[in-house]
Amino acid sequence: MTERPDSTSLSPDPLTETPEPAAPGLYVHVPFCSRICPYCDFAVTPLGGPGSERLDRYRHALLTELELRAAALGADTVYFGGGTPSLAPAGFFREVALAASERGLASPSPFIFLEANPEDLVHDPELARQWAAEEIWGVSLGVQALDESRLRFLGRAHNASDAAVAVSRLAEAGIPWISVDLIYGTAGQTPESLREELVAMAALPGVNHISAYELSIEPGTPFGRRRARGETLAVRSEDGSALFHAVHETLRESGFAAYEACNFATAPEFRSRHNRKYWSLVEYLGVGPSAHSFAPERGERFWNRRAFEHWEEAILRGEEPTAERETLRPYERALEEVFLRLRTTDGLPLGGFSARYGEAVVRANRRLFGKWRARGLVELRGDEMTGCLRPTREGLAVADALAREMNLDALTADRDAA
Amino acid sequence: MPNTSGPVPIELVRNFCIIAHIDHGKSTLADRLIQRCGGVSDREFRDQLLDSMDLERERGITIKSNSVSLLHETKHGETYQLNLIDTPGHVDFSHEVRRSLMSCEGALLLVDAAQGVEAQTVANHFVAMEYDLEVVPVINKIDLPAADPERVREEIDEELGLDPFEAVLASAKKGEGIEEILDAIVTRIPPPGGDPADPLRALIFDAQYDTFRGVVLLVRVVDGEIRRGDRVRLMRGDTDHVVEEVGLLRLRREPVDVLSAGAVGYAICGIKRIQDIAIGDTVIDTARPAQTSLPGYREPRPVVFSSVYPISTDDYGELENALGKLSLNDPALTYERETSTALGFGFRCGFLGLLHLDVVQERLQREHGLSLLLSAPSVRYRVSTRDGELHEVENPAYYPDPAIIDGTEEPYIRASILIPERSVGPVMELLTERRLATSRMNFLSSRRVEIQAELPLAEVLFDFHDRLKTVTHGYGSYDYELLDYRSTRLVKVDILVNGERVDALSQLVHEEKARPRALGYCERLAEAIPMHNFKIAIQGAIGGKIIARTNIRALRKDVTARCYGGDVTRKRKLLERQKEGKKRMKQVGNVQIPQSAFVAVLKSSPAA
Repeated sequence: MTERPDSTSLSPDPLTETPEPAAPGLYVHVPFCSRICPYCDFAVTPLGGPGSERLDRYRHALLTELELRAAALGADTVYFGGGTPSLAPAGFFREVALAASERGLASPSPFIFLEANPEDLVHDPELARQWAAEEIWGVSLGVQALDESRLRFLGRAHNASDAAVAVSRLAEAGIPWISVDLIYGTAGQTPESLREELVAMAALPGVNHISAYELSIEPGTPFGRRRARGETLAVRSEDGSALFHAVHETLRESGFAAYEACNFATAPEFRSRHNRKYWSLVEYLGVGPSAHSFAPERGERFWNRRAFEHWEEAILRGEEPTAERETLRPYERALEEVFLRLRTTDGLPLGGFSARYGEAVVRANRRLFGKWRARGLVELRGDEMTGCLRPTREGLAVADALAREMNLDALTADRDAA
Repeated sequence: MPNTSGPVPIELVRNFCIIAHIDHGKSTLADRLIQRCGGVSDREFRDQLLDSMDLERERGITIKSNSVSLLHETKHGETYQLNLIDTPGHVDFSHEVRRSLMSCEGALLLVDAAQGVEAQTVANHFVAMEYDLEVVPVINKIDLPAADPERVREEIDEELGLDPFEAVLASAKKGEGIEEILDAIVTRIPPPGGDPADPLRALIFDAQYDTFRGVVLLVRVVDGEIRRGDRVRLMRGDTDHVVEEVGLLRLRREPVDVLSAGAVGYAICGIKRIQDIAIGDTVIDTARPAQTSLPGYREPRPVVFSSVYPISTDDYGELENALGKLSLNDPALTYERETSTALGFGFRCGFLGLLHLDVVQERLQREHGLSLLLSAPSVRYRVSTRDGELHEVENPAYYPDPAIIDGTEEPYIRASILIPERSVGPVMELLTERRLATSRMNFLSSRRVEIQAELPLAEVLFDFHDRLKTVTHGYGSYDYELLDYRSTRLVKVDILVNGERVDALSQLVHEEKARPRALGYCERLAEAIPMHNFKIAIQGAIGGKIIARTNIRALRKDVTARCYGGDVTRKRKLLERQKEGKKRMKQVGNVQIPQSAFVAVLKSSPAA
């Protein structure tokens, strides 16, 4: 178990360097929830409870998918996302990780992460200890809010004290990485009330990572339908931006440094070992319904069938359950690299970028980079052609806009021809 | 159905037109007359047949006049030829109205039984008197619940000075009073004069373009005769032609051997382009040339100008074609190439008035499928410079350096405004706001007032009609004529976005109006330009002096939530679409301005 470092020893510099993750990751999608949250548009199906017949079918199909996808991937992280992985029996995670190792997909002892709902830890006081016994490295708790009315609005099954109990059980059990999720920007939320929730969240003993996302209303969800009927569910975008900055300020004051637009850690070693792979374009394989994969050497992204039955059916036929594949053209890949890397404080290393896409692209954007620097959106470490562009907090806040501003015309010829 | 064979003797010909305020039922009456005279079978009949363009039909106004010859058999068994000369119904086309009236001996003056006499009715009546026409008042729409024929009779007496008891009561819609109207045409309007033995003089009062036959001249023969094979000359154009065909304007062209003095008909003379003729010109016989032309020609002078740009730059060629085609049938429309740094290639167009502008814009959009952006309408100013030269400037781009300007003048109009007495206060307030020069009030009846007002044309270009309707609760109407040029204090207002001038938004305005106009533009632009990740200043300026300013705050958040479970594709595709959208925006300095922002700023007329 890793001790949580004393917060006073933390460097407040969000630009603290940590080596980029290099080994691939394995993502496992667990598509079950005991209830469906009204804002959620993940691939999920309701499940009566653990041990049901669907869970067995899922486990069987998942292990078969690992067989079908056997390859020398050697992932050093296995991340169970959902859905609600905490509904699965405690032994499930290590079983899957071991199976993945046997198929070459994971290293012999990978870091195992799982997403969990607080109420599952409350209802089963032994669960956290069982996970610790299974050597689960990290747990990401779907707390989402500490304000009771916001919790009800978000359709969550737990209350604020459940969240505190869940965190303490994880900490007591010795789970090294404890992350809590927060959804902000629900209608009526002010920066002041958000600050209170954040301070309380950051103060939960044992928490060393926080993910804070603005509520986005997706079509096809209950919230999407309510919005279509004219209901106001989220704050206006201007207020959302005030909340974004309130999140960053408050968490920083509470000892959590931003390393990505929505992710904060008390120390560099508590940055999400798995999620960072998405932002730095490291290879990952996703298994389970709807899971996404990225194979950088082939320049390929592919994703699984979304519906549980369709995913299962393909596997039972002995086929990979891939729904679609796309091969990234240089323009697309460069655009991904820009918008993903500019979400992180590690930023965009220009040397590597120009090696991959040509110096002309970097040269074409030198004036633009100068303007970004003048506006305090990025800092440049090193020289104009090979240095690293690191977004400031203001820059992280507008990372999408920066990606849109980048001139990638030198790469669009092949795209237009295609 | 009357006998159509053989020419109708000249004493049985009546040339007349219908003059009316917009929407008082002119086209409906024309339809009824055509139907009653068997000019059209029921199967051919379409409502408001004379208004052939969709646009006219929809708006209920006649833009391009059509004319038709009707045969009417009286109770006494005589067959009259009634030539109905259609007239456009709007102030912008007042000169066309005049030309139509010149071809007639009489006019039906149509008054709505509910609305009563309106400004345009008065104006039309004066013109009819000027040409010595026999005016037959017709009170139309007597079937309406709000109809008040007695009040309208009073107005006809007091405001037009006509005998109210000669007015015919009618409902064109229900076909009531049509017989009485036909009787009045026959008995009260005199037959045309003119001697068929005199040298030929025929007035070209309109023209049509036929894809197969070329230009079709619509003519009123004043003296002499015109027949197939004649060699004729267009006096003003000084061009000679051989007459290929003459005929009557039945619903389809009906060739005849000869058109004699007094006749109204058409002539086809092998002319290919409508630009080669002038409406109002006189046709004479080359063998026996008449010495004097008929009055009637006046150069169509555009008075309202606007720059027209295609929303998609790819449509520039199509816009050029479309303008070419429209101008074939509309010699009053002028256009010349123009370039804007913000909007690309387009045309500076001249129009007879705002309605003309609207009509052209809608035809370009509807008939040619073009999406367009139009700059704020402008009048033509006269600018004298220190070097003693006089410039006519209607385009802000060509406004001379203020340092060398000696003086500027702008066109004034005399507006005739008819309103209920109780609206005098608010209307005077509106006029004062519009830089009223002088006004005179005539109390027409116990309830109604005519205000004769002299004010700048530029002041009625923006929403004047709407405001007048609002402050008079719908009862006010106005008409105007161009008066003269008067000295003015003009400034050129530029709109700057982060210090860069947006040329398409520059305008020439009166000094007093500069600040509110500039602020209006700045505010609308600020609403329409999306936030950037830096602050954007939008300013109105006269030369180097800033007179208005708004800001767009910097975008402080533009980053979406997580990439769900590694689903990068969805997010990337969204960004790709947004990047594409950016490319279609206009770049001014470092600011991306979407087309929609120009549309938002330009299409809503500044109230200032």
